[in-house]
Amino acid sequence: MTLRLNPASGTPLYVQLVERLKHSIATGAIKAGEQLPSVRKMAEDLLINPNTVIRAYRDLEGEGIVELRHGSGVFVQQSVEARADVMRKAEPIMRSALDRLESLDLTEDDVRRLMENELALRRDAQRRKRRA
Amino acid sequence: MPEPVIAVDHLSRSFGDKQALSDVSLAVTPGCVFGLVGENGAGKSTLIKHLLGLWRPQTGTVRLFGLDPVADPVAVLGRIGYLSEEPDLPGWMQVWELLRYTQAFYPKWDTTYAERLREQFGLDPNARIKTLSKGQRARLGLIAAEAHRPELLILDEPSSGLDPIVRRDILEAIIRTVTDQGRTVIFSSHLLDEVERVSDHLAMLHRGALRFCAPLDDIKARHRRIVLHFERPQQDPPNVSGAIRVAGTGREWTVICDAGKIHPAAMARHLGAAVVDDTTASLDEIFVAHASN
Amino acid sequence: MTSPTAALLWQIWRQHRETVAAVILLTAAGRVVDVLETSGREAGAPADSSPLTVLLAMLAFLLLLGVFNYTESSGDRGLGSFPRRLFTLPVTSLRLVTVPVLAGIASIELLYLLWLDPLSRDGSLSPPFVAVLLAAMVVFYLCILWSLERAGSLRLVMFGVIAVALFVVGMLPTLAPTPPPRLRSEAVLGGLVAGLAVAAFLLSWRHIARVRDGDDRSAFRVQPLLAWIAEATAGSRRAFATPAAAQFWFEWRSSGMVLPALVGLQLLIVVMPVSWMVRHDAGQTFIILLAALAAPIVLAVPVGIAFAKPTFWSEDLAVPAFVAVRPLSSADIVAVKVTVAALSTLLAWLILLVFVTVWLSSWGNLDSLSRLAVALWAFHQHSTAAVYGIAALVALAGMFLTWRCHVSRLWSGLLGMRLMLVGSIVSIVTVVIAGLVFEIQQLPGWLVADPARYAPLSWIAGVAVIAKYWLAAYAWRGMPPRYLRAYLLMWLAGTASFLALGLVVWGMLRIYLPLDADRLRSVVILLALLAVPLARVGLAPSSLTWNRHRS
Repeated sequence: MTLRLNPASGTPLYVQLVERLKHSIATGAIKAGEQLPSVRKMAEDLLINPNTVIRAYRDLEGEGIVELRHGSGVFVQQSVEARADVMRKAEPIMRSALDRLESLDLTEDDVRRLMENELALRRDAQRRKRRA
Repeated sequence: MPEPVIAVDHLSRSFGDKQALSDVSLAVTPGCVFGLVGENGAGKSTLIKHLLGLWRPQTGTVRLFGLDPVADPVAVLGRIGYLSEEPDLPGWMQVWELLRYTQAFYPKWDTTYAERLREQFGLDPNARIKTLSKGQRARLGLIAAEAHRPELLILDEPSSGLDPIVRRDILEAIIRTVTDQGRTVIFSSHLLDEVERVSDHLAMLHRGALRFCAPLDDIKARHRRIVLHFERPQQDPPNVSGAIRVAGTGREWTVICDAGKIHPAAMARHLGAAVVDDTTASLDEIFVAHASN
Repeated sequence: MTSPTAALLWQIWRQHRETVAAVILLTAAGRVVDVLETSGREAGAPADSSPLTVLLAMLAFLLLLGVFNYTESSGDRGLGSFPRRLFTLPVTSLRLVTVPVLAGIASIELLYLLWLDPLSRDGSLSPPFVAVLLAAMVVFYLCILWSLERAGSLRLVMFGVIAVALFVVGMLPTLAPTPPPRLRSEAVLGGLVAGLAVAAFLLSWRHIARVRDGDDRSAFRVQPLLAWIAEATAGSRRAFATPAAAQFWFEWRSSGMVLPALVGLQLLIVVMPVSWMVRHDAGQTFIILLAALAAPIVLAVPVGIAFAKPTFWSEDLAVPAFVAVRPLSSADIVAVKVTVAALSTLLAWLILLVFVTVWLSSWGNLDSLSRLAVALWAFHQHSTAAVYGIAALVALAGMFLTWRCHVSRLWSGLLGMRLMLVGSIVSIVTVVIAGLVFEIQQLPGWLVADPARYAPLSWIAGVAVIAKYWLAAYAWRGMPPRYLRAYLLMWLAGTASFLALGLVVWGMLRIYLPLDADRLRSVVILLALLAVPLARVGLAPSSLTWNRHRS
């Protein structure tokens, strides 16, 4: 797997890894039911701390994309196919939201900043909930 | 909380007038990758030499595995692997002789592992060490430090002056070590992107004093980079209380600050400026901010 | 700077200003001493310059050679090679090479002129001949330094050999029978040496020019041969049984062969030719034999000083990280060093004894030796066993004395304080100079002549023995018992052999001595007890620990 992670960018490494893995799964590079590389191999290939990989895998597990089977490894859920449907259903929702925002005369940058702000707030809330 | 592998308590050291380390205290938990950063001359090598028992502490204590490396060097050093910046391997030895010599000191030496690494690194066993390039010597030093699977791997600026491929080998060794249960790595470097990739914990030394010592995620969460835009160009840097560093010219000023202590909007209002950008600071910026203080 | 030559000369002078000043000072001091001595001597006495003057002259010449050490090293400590940075100057290689050589010749001739009066007073050698030899020495020195850079520190050894050879050549015209035949005359020898010097100069010029053009092949393909020898004698590649075994191998490879090599070299280069030349003279043969037997002991002193440092070949007195990080206790490291020294001594003496056997049985003149043997045989109730026993005792005592010189500086050298190292070197040099000045060879005779003179000596020796054993008990208290046992065995063997030898010698000399021979015997016993180091070796691990964990 040739993924390049950029530690210097603003996003944490595990988030970047999660995004890349999701992309690979969505495009079919990693199929449903396939096993992801072990934590050790992934860490050695990408030259990142194993804890980062563990965190990324846990995040994916939390989102229901992968399943951590004790002793065997990390496997992509069979139900990932269903995710593609969900993604297809989400597209029109996003489209209508963007249309409405555009009608407020916001630029693309404004929209992006708004979305990132909202996502960041949700992320913080999630992290606080996890720690508590 | 498991017993720390390394426990440094109020360690101070001065060489004549120069204060190399002042009141440094840190603890390294087993199983983590501990990064030590700081500019040249900040005291990283001195701290590591104290860990190895090469320097006696002037004040304070150093304990590895609960033992004092000065009083009990044999017990401590048998569980450590060490790679320094310029490994002073004897030039007259051949590669196989060095490996055979080092093997005698560590009962847990894994010959197959050492052989596999030697082949992977492309080291000719009959080559004399003085004919090896700097990178090859670093790789050889890495095998000697790693092949006995030490509980603690200490690396003192291992990558300085080396090409990216050798640096990769060293990072791989770090990750291999830490994925083995219970083994720890402490390494000092000023290549921040490497430190960012592999460290769990990070400590920064500046002029002998510890600036911060915390998990990497916490450090990155705590520091924010705020860009302010002023209506009128400012001659002097705006006085932001609680900021670690303020830099810029004219209308645009960048503030690196502790996220917990400063509220960006309030600060901007107080100064009469607008917040243009508010992001997490990169490790590079955090480092420069602390180092320039 | 008006010309490149002036610039090159200025650089030599500027770099070695202090050494030049020292040379001038030594010369002035030597001349003053010489004037004082000759004016104090009565008229008609043999006009020979005193040993002190000769020593000062030698020092001055040695320092001058240091000034013309025209090398620079690229980073690693130690002797370097021809300064590479000069290659980028717009100057021909010939000039780069000629300037230091001619400057060296001119300086040494100037120095010889300044020392001409004291050195040529005995009239054995003509000044022009000596001047030619000196010039040739400078040329050989520089050529060796430049052409044989791969040999590293071995170059100094090679130069030492060449210097001794030149000295021998210088002596050749004066040896019997005089006047020397055509081949051994000064003119022919001088011409030969000059020709060799010119050849060496041309070779090194060619080498430097080649190196400058980028053709860095060494002229001497020694390296592959050495590597082949090392491969062939590599022995097993099995793992070491213990850490101490590995450390022993390391120390042995670093420095174990130095003493045997030096002993073998001087036997080959000095003793063999000289013994051949004096083979018709029994008295001189005996003296050469004694000198050969004393050589390992004398050589062990400088070797011991270098050996006492944590690394033999480096000037750095700190324990190198390579060794300091090994899980090996200081006592183990010191034990390894002591064992290496013992083996080294054994090997050196083996070489010496083999050589002496071959020499004495082939071309050696055994007259005085046989007379001595017969006297001993007669003295000891006609027992040949006693004679062989005494010979064996002498060899044994020599071995232990050599080993003692090899090992006795460990406690101070391992401390890692430069002051201590310099102090020990200075103390040895001072003793040698004092011995030469005060003609110490007359001391034993003077002492023995009057019993009252060596009475205080026995008291001093007694106190010293008590102090030594008290200190030893303190020093060895922290050491592992197995080391104590092993070392005590060695110590006992050494002390026993010294005691035996001392008593035998005393037994024989007793007849010729005046009264109170018993007191002399007790002095001999006490000195034998002091000879082998006990406390010093026990203190060495503490020194190493202090050095290893620096405060």
